[in-house]
Amino acid sequence: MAINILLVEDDPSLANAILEGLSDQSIDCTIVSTVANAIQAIRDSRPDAVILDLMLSGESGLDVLKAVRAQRDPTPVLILTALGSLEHRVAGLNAGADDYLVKPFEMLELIARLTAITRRNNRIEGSTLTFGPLLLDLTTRRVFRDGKELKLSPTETTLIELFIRHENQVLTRKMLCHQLWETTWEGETNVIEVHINRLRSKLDRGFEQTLIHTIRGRGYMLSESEPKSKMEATDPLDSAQKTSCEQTED
Amino acid sequence: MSVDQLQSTTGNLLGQSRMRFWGKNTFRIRTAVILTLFILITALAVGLSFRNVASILLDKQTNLDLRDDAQEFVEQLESISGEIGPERAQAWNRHAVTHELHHWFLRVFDKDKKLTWESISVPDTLLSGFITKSEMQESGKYRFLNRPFFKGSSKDKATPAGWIQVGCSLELIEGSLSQLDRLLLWVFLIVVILGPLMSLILSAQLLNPLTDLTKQAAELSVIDRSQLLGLRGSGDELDSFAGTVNSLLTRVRSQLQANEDWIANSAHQLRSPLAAISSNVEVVLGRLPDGKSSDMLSSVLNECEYLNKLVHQLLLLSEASAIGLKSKRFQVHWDEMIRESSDFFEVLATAKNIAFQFDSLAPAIILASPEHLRIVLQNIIDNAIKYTHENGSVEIELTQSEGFCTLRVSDTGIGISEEDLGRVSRRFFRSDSGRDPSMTPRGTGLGLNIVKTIVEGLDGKLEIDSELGRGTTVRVNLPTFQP
Repeated sequence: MAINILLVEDDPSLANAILEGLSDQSIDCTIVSTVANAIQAIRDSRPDAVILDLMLSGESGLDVLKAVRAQRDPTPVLILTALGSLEHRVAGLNAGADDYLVKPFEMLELIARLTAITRRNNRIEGSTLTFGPLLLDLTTRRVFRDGKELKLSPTETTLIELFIRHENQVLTRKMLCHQLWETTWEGETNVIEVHINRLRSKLDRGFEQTLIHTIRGRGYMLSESEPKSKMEATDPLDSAQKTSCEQTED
Repeated sequence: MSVDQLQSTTGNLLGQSRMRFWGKNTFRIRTAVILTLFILITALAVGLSFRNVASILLDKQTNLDLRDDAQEFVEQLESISGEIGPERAQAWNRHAVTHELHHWFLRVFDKDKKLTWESISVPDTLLSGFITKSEMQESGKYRFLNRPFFKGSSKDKATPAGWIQVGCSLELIEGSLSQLDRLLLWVFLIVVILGPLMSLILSAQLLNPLTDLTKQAAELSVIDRSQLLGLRGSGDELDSFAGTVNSLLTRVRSQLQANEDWIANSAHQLRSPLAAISSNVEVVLGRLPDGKSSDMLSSVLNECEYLNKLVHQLLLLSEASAIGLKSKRFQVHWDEMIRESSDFFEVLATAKNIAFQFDSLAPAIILASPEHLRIVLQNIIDNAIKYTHENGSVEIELTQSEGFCTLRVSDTGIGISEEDLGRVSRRFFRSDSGRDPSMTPRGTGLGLNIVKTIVEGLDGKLEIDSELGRGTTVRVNLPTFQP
């Protein structure tokens, strides 16, 4: 099923990059740059989701959101904005947005979030999540591989849930950190890599097939087969383990 | 006006109102002391004047009485011829008896100034002779008046036929005056006791509107536009003071608003082109096969990420400096957040075989933005683990005392040199080794400065103790929220 996205963005360079990035993932995208055009396009072409920039040369993207929600239109809306404080996020979500992404963002994260909000609308959630040999019981938070229970920490369970929800998609470190710790990682240590590595060792111990793959320079992916391009087998923990003990207070 | 100036202005304003609020008693007591002094001096002056006037009046009245009596007896003597008859003598003695209280007496002398008659009440102490110095004389406790009388032809010759002497004791006047003194002393004592009390009550009454105003001002939020000092509509000095404070508040608020607008605009202006650059590069990177070009674009992306981090931190600093921190507060369970964060970071410690302890966390609630608190924790805990050698230890502890809680993060790491200790929380401070470009992700040199700004923005305090080679202890003191 082809996904059709409406992009409301007044910066042509960014709009074009998003258009190209989405088309690489076979996602159709239409660009509009004003509030009026956006409201019209949502009514006429019924997109699967809307990417909405909040600061549109003199206009507020929130007006689009309010107009759409006033029509009781449930079209998923992802807000894209330069304003990232908690206050702004709360205001956006209160106005009826489904998700919120602060500029600058990673294309992978945008795509992951887009697929999540379009799916959220179509799928009724069960009490378990499965992926290949993996099973996560959402009520008891227990994880099984081939029927054998894995002893995971709460953080690791949240990680595996994220991976299953975004199966066969690249999740960046930034995304994972945001999900696990609700704050952008500003530190100098690769704490996410350490968590992933621990999870991977628990997940794959005693099994031949590797489930979590490192995509070099981009992030991690849960997949049953080796991703075709840009994959590297090296241990990402290296850089974290080598964390310098030299003084770099900042 | 810069953000810092604005902050210091607001800080002064708040500080002064707080100082005055606590210092109101001294002002009240000062007013009371001045009022008491005023009352005492007035009472003393009034008392002394009253006593003086009373003494003069009594004195004059005595003289007047003596003169009246003298006049009367001169007339009587002039009207009779010859000796003073026994009837008249009896009448005069009666007069003396009636005025015994005054020790009134009368003496009659002949023209040779020899005593011819005296009333029964003449005091013994008085000289028996005749004293001619002046009309009104005093001797001992007595005052008396000499007056000549004339008879028949002697009237014309102006040669007196004799003299009379009328006198009385001054004891009664002195007695009255000392009675008055005692009365005045009592009144004064009462004034001394009641004066300060009344002054205190009066000064409290006087200062009540000012105290109310100060209380109101202390509770004012700088951010909430609807909050202003109430005017009582009397148009007095207090109203005009409240008006001045209100207009100052309005100016501060519009500066804050301008600052917030500036932050939002810069965020937009800086992040939008960054987003365009990184998104374009990312899309192209996704289409390129692995190779040199792809590596180069990756490094462009890394630089973008670094720039983004810098923009984020600069905006955060700007936000925190503008006391905007106070406008976005939630109740945060600080101990739970520390436990979650420690859980999250424990893997880093485990990977380096560092003993990581965070069991001793006293419950504490803080009013703050959770995001800002996480940034504080992230920086402090990450630094502690990063600068601690393998097999070292990191200890996290939260203690609570009255109105304050203290987060202590101690490590057995490399420590900070004395020279660097004063500089670590400065903006863009990097020790020489901190500039190592091979470190990934790259630091901006703003981390501890952000921590300091956030903590101080929440009326807290950041303390760092360190010994080179022994370890570092960071303390974050924050005021707790009392529901």
